[in-house]
Amino acid sequence: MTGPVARLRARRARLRYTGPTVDGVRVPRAIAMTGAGLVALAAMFQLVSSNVLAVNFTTTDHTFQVYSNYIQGVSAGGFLSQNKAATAAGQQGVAELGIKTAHLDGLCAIAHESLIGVGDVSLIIKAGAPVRGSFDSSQNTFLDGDDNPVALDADGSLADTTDTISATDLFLNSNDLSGYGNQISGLDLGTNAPDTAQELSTGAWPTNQLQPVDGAFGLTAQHLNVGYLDGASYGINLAGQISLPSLKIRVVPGSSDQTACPNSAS
Amino acid sequence: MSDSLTIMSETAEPSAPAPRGGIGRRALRRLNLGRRWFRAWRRTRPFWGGVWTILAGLEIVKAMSFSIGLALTGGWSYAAGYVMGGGLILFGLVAWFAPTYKGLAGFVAFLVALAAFPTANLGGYLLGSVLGIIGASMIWSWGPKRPSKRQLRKMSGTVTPGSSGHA
Repeated sequence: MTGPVARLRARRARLRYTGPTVDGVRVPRAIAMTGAGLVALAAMFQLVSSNVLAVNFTTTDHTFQVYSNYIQGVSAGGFLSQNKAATAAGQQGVAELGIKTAHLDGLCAIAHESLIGVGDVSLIIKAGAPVRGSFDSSQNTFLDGDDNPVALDADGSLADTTDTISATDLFLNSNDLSGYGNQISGLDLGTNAPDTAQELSTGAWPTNQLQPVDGAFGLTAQHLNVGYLDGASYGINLAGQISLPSLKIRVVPGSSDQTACPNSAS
Repeated sequence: MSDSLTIMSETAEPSAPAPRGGIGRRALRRLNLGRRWFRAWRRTRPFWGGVWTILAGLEIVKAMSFSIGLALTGGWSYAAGYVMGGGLILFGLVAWFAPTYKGLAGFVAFLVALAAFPTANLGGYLLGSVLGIIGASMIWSWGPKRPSKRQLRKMSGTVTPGSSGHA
């Protein structure tokens, strides 16, 4: 055989190293594979940022501070419960809030963690429009982190939901929420807690949390619009999916607060 | 049959004269033996790749630290951290204790580290996925290679034909 393949094989055989060997990491191969992996990871990150790839994001025992310029929820229900999904250390009384479909103009979530040998660090997750560094919830005009007004329709809905964060079957368990309730409609405070489930797409609360009991306090709303949302949440749970345009994740030393949310702070 | 030469591991080096007497000396000698045994063990498998892969798995599990009961009953949202993180830990251990399968273990760990990004809290907030990719690459690429000049100099006195060496 004298074909090109045979010649190539013969050349490889001539050049093959036949001396003593040691076992270890073959650096060129390792670098090639690591490089391919990091490129694939960057591509997935880009797909998530550009609203193509949805991710599963579930937390419970870590307190998140959640900020958004504006949240538009359609069909929401809530009741008081215990944070069942947390470990013993994370047990709290929380308001379980479920929203069938939600659009958020900007999201900034900040979690704090103390690492051995490093000290306090903050994880900052940002997506969508930049979130303001501080909120003034006394009036119903809302600006984002670049001082652009959040465009709203007459009924308080977001005028354009193209670049917003969109989530289906979004569940929060929160012990502290504040903001400006903007033209909330179909609000029913004092609903029998189990009846709140009818607002959800499945007609039932997720089986992995404590279920509402008869006679307990509940609330429902057809349109739940909240401007300048500032909440302390024990968990963000998605039965559906979430799209996170312009996703940014940063880990910074120290204990960051809302002032780290605008782009100018990154 | 490979014609590669092999270096005797350091455990086979001529040992120093045994110290005599004293509990402290005996303990030191055992410690020294243990250290040599561990070094020889470490050099015959992709040890550091396994370390990074196991750390990546622990980071992903920690990022989704739910009770086992909730992970078993709560569906994929809660189980993903244990499945992805546990998978990385498992393949790290395979690299340590069954290094024959290093190629397969490294490749599958690489895929799991990538898959953890969309499925398990962004791959343990990115850190787990990045560590997993590095560790898996080190496991996959581990094998016989041309020794460095320093290693060759070190080997020159202890090379025996027909066996295989470790770095």
